[in-house]
Amino acid sequence: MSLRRYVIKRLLMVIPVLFGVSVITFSIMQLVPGDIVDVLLGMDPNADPEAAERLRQELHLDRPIWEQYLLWLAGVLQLDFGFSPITGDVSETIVTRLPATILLGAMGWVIALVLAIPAGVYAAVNKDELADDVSRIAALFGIATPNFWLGLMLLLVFSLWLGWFPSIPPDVSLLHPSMLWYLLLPAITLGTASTALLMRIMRSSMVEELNKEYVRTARAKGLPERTVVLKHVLRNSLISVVTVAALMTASIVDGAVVIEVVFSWPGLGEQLITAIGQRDLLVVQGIVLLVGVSIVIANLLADLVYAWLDPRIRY
Amino acid sequence: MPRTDRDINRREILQGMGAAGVVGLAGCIGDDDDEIEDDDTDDDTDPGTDDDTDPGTDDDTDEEETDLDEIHDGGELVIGLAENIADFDPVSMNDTTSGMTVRTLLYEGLTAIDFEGDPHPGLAEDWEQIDDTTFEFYLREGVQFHNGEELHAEQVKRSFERYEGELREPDVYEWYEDSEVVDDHTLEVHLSQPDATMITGLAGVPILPDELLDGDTDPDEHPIGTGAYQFEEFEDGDVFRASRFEDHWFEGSDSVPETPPIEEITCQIIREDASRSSALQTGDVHHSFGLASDTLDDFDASDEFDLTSTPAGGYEFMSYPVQFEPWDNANIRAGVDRLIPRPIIIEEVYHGWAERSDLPFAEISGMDEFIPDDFREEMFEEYGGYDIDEAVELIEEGFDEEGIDAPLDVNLVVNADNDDRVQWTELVAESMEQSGMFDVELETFEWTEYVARVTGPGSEENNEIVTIGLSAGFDPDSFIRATMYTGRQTPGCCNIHHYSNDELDDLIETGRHDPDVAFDTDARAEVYQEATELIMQEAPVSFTQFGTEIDIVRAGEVHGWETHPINSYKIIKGIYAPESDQVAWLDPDAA
Repeated sequence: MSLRRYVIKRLLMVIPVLFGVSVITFSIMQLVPGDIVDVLLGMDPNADPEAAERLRQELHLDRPIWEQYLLWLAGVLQLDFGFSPITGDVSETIVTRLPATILLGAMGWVIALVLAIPAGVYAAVNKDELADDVSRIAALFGIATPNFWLGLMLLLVFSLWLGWFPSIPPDVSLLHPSMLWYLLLPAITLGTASTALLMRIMRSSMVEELNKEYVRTARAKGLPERTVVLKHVLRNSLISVVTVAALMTASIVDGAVVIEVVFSWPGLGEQLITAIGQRDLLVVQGIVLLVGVSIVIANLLADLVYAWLDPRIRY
Repeated sequence: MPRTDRDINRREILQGMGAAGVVGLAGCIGDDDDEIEDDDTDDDTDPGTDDDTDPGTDDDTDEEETDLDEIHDGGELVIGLAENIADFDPVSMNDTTSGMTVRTLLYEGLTAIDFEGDPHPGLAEDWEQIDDTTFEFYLREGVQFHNGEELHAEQVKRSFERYEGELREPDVYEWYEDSEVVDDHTLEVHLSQPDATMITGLAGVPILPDELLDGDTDPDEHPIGTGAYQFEEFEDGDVFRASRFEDHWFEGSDSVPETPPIEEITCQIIREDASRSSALQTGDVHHSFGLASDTLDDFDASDEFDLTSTPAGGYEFMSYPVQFEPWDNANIRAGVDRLIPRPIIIEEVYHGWAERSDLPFAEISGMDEFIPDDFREEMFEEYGGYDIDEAVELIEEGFDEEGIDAPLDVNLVVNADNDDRVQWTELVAESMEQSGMFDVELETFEWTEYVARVTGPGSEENNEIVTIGLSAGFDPDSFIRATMYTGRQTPGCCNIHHYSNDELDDLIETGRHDPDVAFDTDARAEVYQEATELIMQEAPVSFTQFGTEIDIVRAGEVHGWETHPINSYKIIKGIYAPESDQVAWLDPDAA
């Protein structure tokens, strides 16, 4: 199968997955106990019946469920997530918050890659030596540590004790240097678990490659070890790392919800918690859908990158 | 609270932060009391009796007299809020965070309440009770709104009538019939029935300018009041800012300046308890509250912080499924009430930062006035206290009357995201099990589902004991009406299991609305004593503990802070309350 056919096939496969995501997200409204209009109006017994009726019509609750779904989906496809009685235009809410989450996620992702790749390479090259053992223990800690606890500890040490970082975001724009400085702690928190996992994958992948014939040949040809490792082995080992890194978008998005609360970071995760607290179901629905879709897209990209990097992969 | 001179022990804080992280994470999803908050403004003691009091001339608090020369003018106070501001419109806001930021910081009512709950002139400089159901209010002249409009009587009338059909309708329509504008600064208000709580309640009914009343500006977009602070900015879920209103009507007194010394207020929303605690310790915020109970002793003992506290109106309670046998039997309910380990709950769950609730009225309800010590002791001896033997005797009697054998299967329900509440519910469950009379199953729910379950339609059809919290105010009515009065049956807040007792209903109504009782302290005392005995005998609900309002400010940086018992008034009264000679300011050299 050519790469082109594979890409088309893979893109077509995304459609039913996205359909599933949309159905599950739409079901949030149906699964809420009680009347959704009552919930959205804050369980207010004195709520204006006309306002309730208006909301019912806006949400198309007076129509059959399949029609409700299609109308909702039509809106979503035009990036119209509805109008919440609590926060107003849901799309606007999401757009306002999205850059902060993207920035946090990107920084967490970069930190994970920057730390994991050299550490994994070093551990593989020094297999079964002290450095390898240290990296194994560090990875174990990284994976086992709950990120909200790690966030609190980083705040305690670097903000409270050492005073290097403020404990709440500074009152400046998102890309201001002092904001980026503040972002380091949440990004490290977010990237830690991913770093640990990526480092182990990098190491095992590297160890596997180092045992292959072509490495022995390269060494026999008298190539310097540095060239063998960095030019030949690293490149081949990166295939699995890149794939896993793309798949990690999901864990980064998950982690951001908790980390944004710990660090009062004004992103989508914090908004999601706010919306849950306020029973602002339309916002919850919008964010959950966005997260679901971004994970599907990340998986798709991972598959495509994998296929591009390794021509043997066509499933 | 006793203070010792020692710094916060970092290891203790470390442990506290770890624990608080877990607690806060669970607790941040839907702050319970805020969501089912009872009206904390419908409180009053004696309307019309303090009406000749000039703001700024009373000395209602125990604080030291402030020397105006000591006060530094200017600065930005940064406050760490645990919750987002959910609503900017006074007629629909139903959470205490919106109340303490928008409603009381930006807006004012016709009256103002002090730290004891006594009413003082606010936007009305005086008022007169014409008869049981007619009041005449005389507005201050020259009062300006933040948009430059001048206050007049028509705005007051329209502000009242704006409540009709809205979420907070009972704030006004519990007593409001109609009103007549006599002239620009005089309004005659006709009550639908006499009301003992109306005058104090007016403090929580904001007066809006024509710009908002005419719909030219949406209060959700830009709130405009007459308050000492005006709205500047709100970033949803992130930050709220207000600045001093230089044209506020107060003209100053010997101890309170004509405008608040603090120039700007920034409320930073920091949901996580441990993060808020950390921000307070690093000095990123000056003031915070609602921190984990297990860290409060350390803050209290530290020289770096001033912790102020006062008994408050919030309470936690259990509602029994009285529509089901055998819970319609008062002996069984009273028996369970005596199985509640209140002293252990206060110490182990709240670390001493709560008050016992052996009787149904907290201290701030004017309990001293309504429930004298000897009566309280008599009631406690007769019906109250944690006593397993007495409890088992009562329950056995009830079981015999109902013809059932122990142990009885019982469901106890609680919302999972309030760690303190889960803990005390577990203690009650354990105590019930240990009595040998009950086999208890504890079930937890997510907040949204829980609130629908216990305040939505059909809540009375669930055969389960519900544990939940509510806010009350300075009046005894606010402690018993919401949970026990027939007219407050669900859906809505908060007679969860539809308890109905004509005798108690009569007492509740008489205490607040009977013209011969509502305005006579002695007569009210008799009514509420009678109600207390009936409630102790019947135990339709069990109060488990009353809350404590706590503020923590950075010592040396913030001066003069006082804690108000009602959390909706926390910020404005802590900063600037002319009627109580209360003023706080920032030290520019200490930060």
